[in-house]
Parts: sequence; C-alpha cells; structure tokens
Amino acid sequence: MFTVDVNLEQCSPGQVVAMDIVDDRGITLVGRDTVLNSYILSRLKELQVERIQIYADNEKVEWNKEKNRADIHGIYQESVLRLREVTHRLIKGTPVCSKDIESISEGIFLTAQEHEAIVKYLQMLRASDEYTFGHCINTAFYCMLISKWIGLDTTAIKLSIQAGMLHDLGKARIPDEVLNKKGRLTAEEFEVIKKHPELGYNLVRQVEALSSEVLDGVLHHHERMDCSGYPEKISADGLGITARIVAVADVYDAMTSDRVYKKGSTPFKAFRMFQTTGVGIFDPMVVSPFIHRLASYYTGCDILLSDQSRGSIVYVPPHDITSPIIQIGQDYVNLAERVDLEVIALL
Amino acid sequence: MKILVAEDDLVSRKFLVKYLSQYGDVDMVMDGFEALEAVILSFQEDMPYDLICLDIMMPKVDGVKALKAIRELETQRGMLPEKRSKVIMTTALAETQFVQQAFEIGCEAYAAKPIDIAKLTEVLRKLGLIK
Repeated sequence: MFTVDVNLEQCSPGQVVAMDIVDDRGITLVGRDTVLNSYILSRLKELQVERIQIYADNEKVEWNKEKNRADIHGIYQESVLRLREVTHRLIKGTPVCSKDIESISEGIFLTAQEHEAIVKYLQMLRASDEYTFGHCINTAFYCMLISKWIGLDTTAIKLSIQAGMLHDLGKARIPDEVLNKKGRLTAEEFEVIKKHPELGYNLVRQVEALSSEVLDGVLHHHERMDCSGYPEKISADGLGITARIVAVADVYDAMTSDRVYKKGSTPFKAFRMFQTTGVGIFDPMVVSPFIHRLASYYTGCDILLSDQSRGSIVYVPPHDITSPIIQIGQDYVNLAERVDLEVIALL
Repeated sequence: MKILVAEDDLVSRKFLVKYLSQYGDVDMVMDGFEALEAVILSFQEDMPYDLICLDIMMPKVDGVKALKAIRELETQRGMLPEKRSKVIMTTALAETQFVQQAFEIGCEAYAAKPIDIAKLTEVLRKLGLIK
C-alpha cells in the first residue's frame, strides 16, 4: 500500500491515516490506521495540523477490505474446525505432528496485515464458548496482533499464534459440569479448572517437533509477573515472551467475550483493567503497545451508552483510551468530561 | 537531567514541576500506568530518566506498584544498578508500611508533603543529581 503526504484540507472522511499524527510536543493525536471522519478532521484543523500521511488509492483499499473481511471469516471458521480435529486426535493419542499445527497458524498468519478487519470481526463474534474452540482461535489472532505490534520477527509471531491457539486445550480434559457451570465455582471446582494449563501442556507435548517456546506458552499462560499465577507461581524472570503475550491475549478475549456465566465487557473496561489492577501482573511492554494500537480500531463502532442512548465512536484519544468521543446524531459527547456516562456495549 | 513526576494532586504536581524545571526537562503524569508508559518511551528513545518522583497514593495504580513495575522494566532491560533511575516517593500521610515496601523494592528517598524545598534540594545533592 502506498502512502502519500497530503495537506489536511485535501483530506476527506474515509481515508486512512498511514502514520501516527503527532503534535509539536510529541503527543500522539491520531494513531496510524485510524479511519478519518469529520470529527477528527475538524479537531486536527483546530490544532493547526497541516500535513499528514494517508494510504493512497483509497478505492483499492475499500475493495480489499471487503475481500479480506470474507477471507478472515473463512480462515477463522476453518481454523476452528481444524483445531477441533487436532484436539480430538491428541486426546485419543493419535499422532499429531507440528505440520498439522503449522497449517493452522500459517492460515491465520495470512491475515496478518488486516488489523482493522480482524479486530472488527472478533468484536462482532463475541460469543465464544468452551466447546467450539472459538476462544482459542480468538486468542491466536490477538497473539498475532500483539507480537506484530511489539516488533517480533515472523518466526516468533507464528509461534505466538500456535501458543495462542493451543493454550486452552487442557480444558478438553476438564469435566463439563465444572467447565460450563453457570454459577460461581466452589474452591474445589476452581482448583480443578486451574489444572488446565498442565493438562494442556501434557496433551500438546505429544505433538512431534513442536517448539518449546509454544509449550512454555501453553504451560505458563496463567502465570503472572508478580508470582500470583498458576500452576507454578513463577516470577517474571521465569516467564518467556510467548507466555506473557498469551496471558494478555487470553485475558482480553475472555473479558470481552460473552460466556455462559456473564456478558462480555467493553474493550474500554478491559483497557481500564490493564491500566489499574493489571499493573504488576501483566508485562507493560506487552500491554501498552497492544491496548494503544487496538483502541484506535474501535473508531467507527456503534455503541450503547449507560443512559441508553446510541451513538458511534468518532475518536479514541491516544492519551486516554478509556474515554472515547461519541457522536450521537449531530452532537459529540466527550466521555472524559462526562463522568456520569460510560459505554456499556458495542453494537 | 531528565525527570519524571507522577503525581495526581494538581497543586503538588505543579509545585514539583516548577521546582524541578530548573534542573532539567520534566515530564509529568497523573497515574501509575502513565508513569510506566513514560518509562517505556524513555527506554525506546534511549534516554532513561535520571530522577522519578512517585506519589505513593495515586488513582488506578499506587506508587508502590508502579515502583515495582518500573524496577522490573529496568531489570528486563539489563540496566546496571548504578544506571537505574533514582526514585523519590512522595507521601501526604505517614503511610509507613507503603514507604517501607517502597524501600524494600528500591527507592532512594521519600519526601513527606507538603514538600520541604530545602530538604529536597539536599537530597538531590546527596544523590549526586545536582551539584
């Protein structure tokens, strides 16, 4: 995709920002890959931004978007089917080699450039339950985005995809009544669930020639930087990068998905968690790039506010990603100024 | 000298920023997570902070948690102990167990608010940050 340097006056809604727009103090105003709309254009004009970089050939970009959205759906559904098949073979003890795993991760990796489409697709999906392996594939996609956004090389990205898709296979060995219980888990039931990283590790170890980095990601995806995790309560020193990535991807998808026992939280609630209780627990070098890049992709989403009014997100301020600007009809609502309002759902 | 002030109270923040500006460039943030992001950015620019003033009581993430995470980032980066940022914790009350925890994790000093300028200058001198 080509980028062009243009005057702000020549820009119109729908064009896509190619490089972070930064003010003269170095503060990011609009992140790369944000789709321009009239709100953002008028704010940039007020702030006297004169030239920006956008992706050229916009019709081509639009057409590609439609084409690739279809591809993501196809790849996603196929990945779920293949993962289910691989899991059944692992449980039966039928040989699985790393090529079987790689064929799935290679498929997912084909979508690696389609950040916005992936985020929007996963957001639309939202319902993921333990049976359909949806959560595993969601996590794999998020792992891919994270490892790209923290600058890992292609090999490492693919390994993180594999770790992401395999991380919860141990749940196939957890009894149904516990796994899909609608109410609160008892202490004993929780202890049973906590076995799934180890169970998963034992299943996945059977795969011939699977990278130890992936195995580590599966075993340690519930470990935390402050030794508060499980099963081994290891500290940050013992926690490899793949496990740190899976931890963040797993929790983000878990929080934002609907489950049998709860409705999914909004991305903003998840961002807030990472910025508060998540500090010291997850690696900030993983969290910070992830939530900042991710936040801008929710621009354009329709949402429901806590006063039941409906609007759409026109801008997610990079310095305050939990307080987006919402457009309702012709008005703009700045959630940073309205402590009484919050986004309660994405539509 | 490159300085980071993490302070959620407006008055204290303005005060510290104004006082410290005479010694170098001062960045300011309002909570622990932003402090972490500022440190990460300083690493990316290869210009780590010489001094970080962390408020022990901040919204969202308290100073002790932030301190722990910052030290963790420095360790990950392989920073030698003498190259690590000097940290001064600021505290409004006698939050002794927090101050204790901060020293255990690794800070250089604490300053009780309202901040005594003469004492703070003395501490900066002792830490070798100013002449």
